[in-house]
Amino acid sequence: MILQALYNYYQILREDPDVEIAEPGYSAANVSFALNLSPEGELLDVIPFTSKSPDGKKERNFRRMIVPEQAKKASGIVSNFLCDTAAYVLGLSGKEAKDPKYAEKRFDAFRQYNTEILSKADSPAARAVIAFLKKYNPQKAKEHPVIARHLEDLLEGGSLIFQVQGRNVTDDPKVKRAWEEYKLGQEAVEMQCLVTGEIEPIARLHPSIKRVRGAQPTGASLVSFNERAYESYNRMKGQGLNSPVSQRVASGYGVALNYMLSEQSPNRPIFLGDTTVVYWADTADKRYASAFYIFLNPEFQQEEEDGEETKGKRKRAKEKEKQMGEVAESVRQGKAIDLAKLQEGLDDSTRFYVLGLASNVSRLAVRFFLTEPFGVFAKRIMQHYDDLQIEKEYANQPTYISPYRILVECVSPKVTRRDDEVKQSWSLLGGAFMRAILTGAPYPEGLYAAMLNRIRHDCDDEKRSVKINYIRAAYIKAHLIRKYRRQGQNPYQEALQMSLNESYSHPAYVLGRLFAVLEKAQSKAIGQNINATIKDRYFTSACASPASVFPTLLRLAHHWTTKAEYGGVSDRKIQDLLDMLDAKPFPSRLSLDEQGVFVLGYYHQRAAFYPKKGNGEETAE
Amino acid sequence: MGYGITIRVQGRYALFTRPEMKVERVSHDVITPSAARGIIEAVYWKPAIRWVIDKIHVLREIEFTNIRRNEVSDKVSVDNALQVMKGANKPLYIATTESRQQRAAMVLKDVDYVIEAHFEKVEKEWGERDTEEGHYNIVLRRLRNGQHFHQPCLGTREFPAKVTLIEDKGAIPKSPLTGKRDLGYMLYDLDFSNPRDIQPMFFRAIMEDGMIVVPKPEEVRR
Repeated sequence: MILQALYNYYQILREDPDVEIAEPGYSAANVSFALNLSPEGELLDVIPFTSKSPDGKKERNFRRMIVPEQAKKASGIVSNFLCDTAAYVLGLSGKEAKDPKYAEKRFDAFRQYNTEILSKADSPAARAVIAFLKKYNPQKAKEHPVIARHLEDLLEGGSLIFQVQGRNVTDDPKVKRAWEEYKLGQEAVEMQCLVTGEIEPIARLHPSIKRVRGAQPTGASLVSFNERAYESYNRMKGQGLNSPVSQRVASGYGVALNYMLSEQSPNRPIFLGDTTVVYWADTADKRYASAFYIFLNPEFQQEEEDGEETKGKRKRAKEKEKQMGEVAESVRQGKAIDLAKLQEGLDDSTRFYVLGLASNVSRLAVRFFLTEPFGVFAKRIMQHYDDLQIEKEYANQPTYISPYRILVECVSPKVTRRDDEVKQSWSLLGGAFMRAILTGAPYPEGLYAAMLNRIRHDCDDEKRSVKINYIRAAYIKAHLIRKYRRQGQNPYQEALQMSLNESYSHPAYVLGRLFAVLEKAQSKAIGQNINATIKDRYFTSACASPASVFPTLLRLAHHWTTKAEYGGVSDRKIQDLLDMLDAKPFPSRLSLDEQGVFVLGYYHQRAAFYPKKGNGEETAE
Repeated sequence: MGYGITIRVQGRYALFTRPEMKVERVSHDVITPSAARGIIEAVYWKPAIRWVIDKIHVLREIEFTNIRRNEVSDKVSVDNALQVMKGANKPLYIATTESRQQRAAMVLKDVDYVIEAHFEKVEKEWGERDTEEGHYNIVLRRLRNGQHFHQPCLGTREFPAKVTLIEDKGAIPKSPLTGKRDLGYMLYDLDFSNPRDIQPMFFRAIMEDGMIVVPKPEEVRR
């Protein structure tokens, strides 16, 4: 399923003229220098490569090129074909202090490996490289006038390729053929491929997938077998033979996945906790993925489009750009995402795939893999936003709260390195949350518990955190709605609304409202500058075990109402709310669900105190 | 073929590991024929018969969830066992505290399948006292009584299966799944015909209205 879908996408990408991707047997790499050789194999010059980063902002000292597929390097000596680091290509290394032969050994390996393959190619370029490798002496490298000039840069690292008469040797057709024959000639174990069903040469090692968050920078494998327990039927050290995937498919899915994770792709991966999410449609049309991205990152899109500089730099198909821009505009104005506009010209029935990957050092684990027609995903995401709708505290708060924002709300404000900590805290929840959004299932209970936990422990602090804010209230509402949706009946239905429901008499809700009224009475009586308000001091216990706190609070309230200027108003409100409790004693404790309802009651009541400035502006338009 | 049985297999979780993702495990979408065979063999198996899966009915939506659990990275060494048999003094255990690893797995949730299967004679092992009626009646009796040799499981031992006999094929519940779904290539079983080179076999699983027709072994083996 996963490999198959990725391989299909690879075939789509190959047909796409806008996308430059590597053929099987080749891969993209960052190349820093070219060694310019004469046809006789003399080193004429070292040409440093530079390029601009895809957003056009930064100057980089390498260029991304398609080179023969590179071997996986661990600690041993493994050389690549025609593209490698200075230690291999020139026998130059800064590490010589430790092992005097460090670079020499590598150069020897490189010379042997490359000569072997190149000798099969009958072309001037191949002969020039062979001649160079034969003549070149790494021990005298530093005395070589051309190398000496670039010595410092070369030692800094980066890969080198060869050029003969200004043309890259890797592009020489005869050299390419020699490489492909060599590559296919190896590892010729043939088995039934589990993706295509054909009997084909099987890939022993699978390609490295780069840029998954948390994985090693050199890349991690989606498929690998490193311990005895994972090897079956005597395929010891057989690696890929434990799960026959043909070389063709292995390199294909690797290319497709790497493409989606790379900067080249117009649609970035979404990072949630430790999960990296990639997504694609079963068609060359990139608008599906763009639309999906905007759905899940409405605010991010907003920032993106705000910056004039970045505008237009993204490689989206140009005529679509405007369309997406308009959608972003409507998001900024707090209007509903115009589903119809975003989906204009998109076919709802197109298959869409979402793959969540997480890293485990050198291997990737699949968090989820979802496939549905595009329209189904679009509807479910809109459902998610609908569930989250709640009255805003401030008009400038986003109408659509991105999943990332919700996860961030669950992290302690004491954490300074947010991203890292978010990642650790959400090892499984990030993925589970995303899956819940995309499948329309209830949100994970763990997330709800964590959200209440933050409400319990955070104090109001202008800079860092707010005990109860718009996002937290919205999440609690959505969580309770979704939790009971499948059961047909929701015990808290009447609390789960946009704004205050004055007629709802569930004790948890009424107590939440009462707490807000008491808080206001206190601030009216004593002013805003209090060291610890009743919210800081009593909210947690009021929410979890009302009976232990409310009597005290009501006694205090008496003092406040007599002191305040218009105390009578507060007094009446308190009395009204107490009447709604029907003379029942305060409940001794509230369940987690009821605590959520309490928070909503508090939030709704507080929002109701203030005239809706935001709405006023909107109606004025 | 007159001696086919139909069983219903249910469980809270299931994990039919995909071969390519068996380290950080990911399950196939539905039960594989070899897992189904394993379940029936847990109930009744004799050298004289070989179970063949004919059809798989999927009675619930395919739903996944993620779990983490501790696994071990080692296997008991066959070489050690052989040496110990010959009198050597070597450890025959795996120390779970030493080789424990935490792994993520993407497993199926709340599965419910109906499996149609039949058995075939294994000519080499078929004795004079073996009769097809006999074996058939034994398996029926065992299923009715809920007997089994070892606990039938859904892919891995952590996920036990509840197995019940469906006596009347007409009583197979209707699947909520509709339409045709291509589940891609799926593990069929392992081909043990050459014990030195055991090969996995794959088949294209196509589910129509919740039913997968499993090809015959001869069709899969090439």
